Amino acid sequence: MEVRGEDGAACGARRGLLGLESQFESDAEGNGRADGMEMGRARMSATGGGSVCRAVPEKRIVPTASGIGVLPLDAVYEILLRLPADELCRLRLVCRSWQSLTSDPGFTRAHASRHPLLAGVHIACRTGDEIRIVDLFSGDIVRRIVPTVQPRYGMNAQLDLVCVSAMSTHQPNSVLNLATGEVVATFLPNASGRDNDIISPLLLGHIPSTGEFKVFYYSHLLGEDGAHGMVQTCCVATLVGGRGGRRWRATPSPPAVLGSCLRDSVVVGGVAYILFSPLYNQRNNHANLEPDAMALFDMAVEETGAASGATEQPSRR
Amino acid sequence: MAAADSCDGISTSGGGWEKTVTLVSSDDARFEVREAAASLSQTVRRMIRAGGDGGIPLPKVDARTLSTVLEYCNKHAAVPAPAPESSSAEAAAVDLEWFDKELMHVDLATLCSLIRAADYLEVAGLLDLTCKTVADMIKSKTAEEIRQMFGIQNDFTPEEEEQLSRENAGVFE
Repeated sequence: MEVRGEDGAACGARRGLLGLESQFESDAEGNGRADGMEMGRARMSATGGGSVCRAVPEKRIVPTASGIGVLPLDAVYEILLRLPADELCRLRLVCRSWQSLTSDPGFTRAHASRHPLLAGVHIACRTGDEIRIVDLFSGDIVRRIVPTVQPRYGMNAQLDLVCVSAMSTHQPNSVLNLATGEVVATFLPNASGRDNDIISPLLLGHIPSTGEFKVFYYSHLLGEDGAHGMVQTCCVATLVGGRGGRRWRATPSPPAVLGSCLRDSVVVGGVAYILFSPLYNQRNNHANLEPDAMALFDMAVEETGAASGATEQPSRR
Repeated sequence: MAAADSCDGISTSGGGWEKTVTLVSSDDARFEVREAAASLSQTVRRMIRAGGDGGIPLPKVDARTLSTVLEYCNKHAAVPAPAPESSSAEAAAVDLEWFDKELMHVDLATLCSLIRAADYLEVAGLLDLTCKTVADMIKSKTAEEIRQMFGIQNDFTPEEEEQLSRENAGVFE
């Protein structure tokens, strides 16, 4: 959990900066924890002295310990780590040292790893649906987001990003940042605009080797004559990193029709696994598919493959 | 106890032969503790390994705080590790939880000295327990209330304070 910053020099400024003087000489290990603090910030506080402070200026450097004794920075760090993110935002107002500590990227990383977040759609008929982000350990709701479009009741997430698919094919799907709640990107699928079109939920993948985030969906567009001549297309776009950008790129489609419910697909890292639609395939002479046949889409190379006997002529074990 | 060698003291308490160590607080109080309990502190464990006689000096912890820390260590080191699903394991876990809760029924000043001691002595379980307790006390308090709790001076200018609270309001409306 030791977080080492880029700027070791900030370490020396730490004690004066925090105003929570340690009574103990921290050992080298303890000092490492807050190293990530920006030098600029430290300088600001150290020299800000008399002019910035509105209370008795000479007391600013000396921490005021009213009876309870002062806490070493390491202890404040440990305490703040155990508080949910929304509390931390308010605590930034306590003093400069707490503000610096909570804005430090090292602290943010350590905090994030201790507070895994979970996003879910809260369904409320009267007040409207709401996306809630919950701290998995404490159970606190740390953020509520009112979506601009009606979301599907299932989402998929990779690291800090969560993908919210729209209920309607005409509305954009969005990718949100769990920690900040901001909308990172919105995607409108390439649909024909007919109401019978079926668009899969947007699947978000993260390719660990390159750090790229990509989104993938498949759609079933009906031909002019309605039920027959359905066309399955698969599209992928890059969200973060890499080349290709946020334009949809058509990719090869698997040989049979994919299921398009939320529970038909799962993404593990950069690979989406999608169950075939058994009923449709049976009716349309893809009868050799096993019930658990899956297609996989590797987002790294943008290729479709087969998983667990998902070819048209599956080899039986 | 003064004669006891810090590392090789032997006692018969608890029905068995157990190694004990002597810890010396900042105000020269001596505590004889089972080595298993004292070893919950990584700092003490290192000092035991380094050897030495006449007790292990802990100049940063006073007697009152050290006795509470040792109370914690004794209790937590005493718990054997029975089969995880047995009823006795469950009872022991409940008992331990009760003990921890009782131990945390102290004022903020004592809690803060415990945090400092747990941090210095590197007793991970106690540090977690005390920090969690203080974190719970901080929860849903205003910045001003927290400043008063810890005796922290507000070093923001009124303009900065206003801007910060405006930023926060934007995030959590």
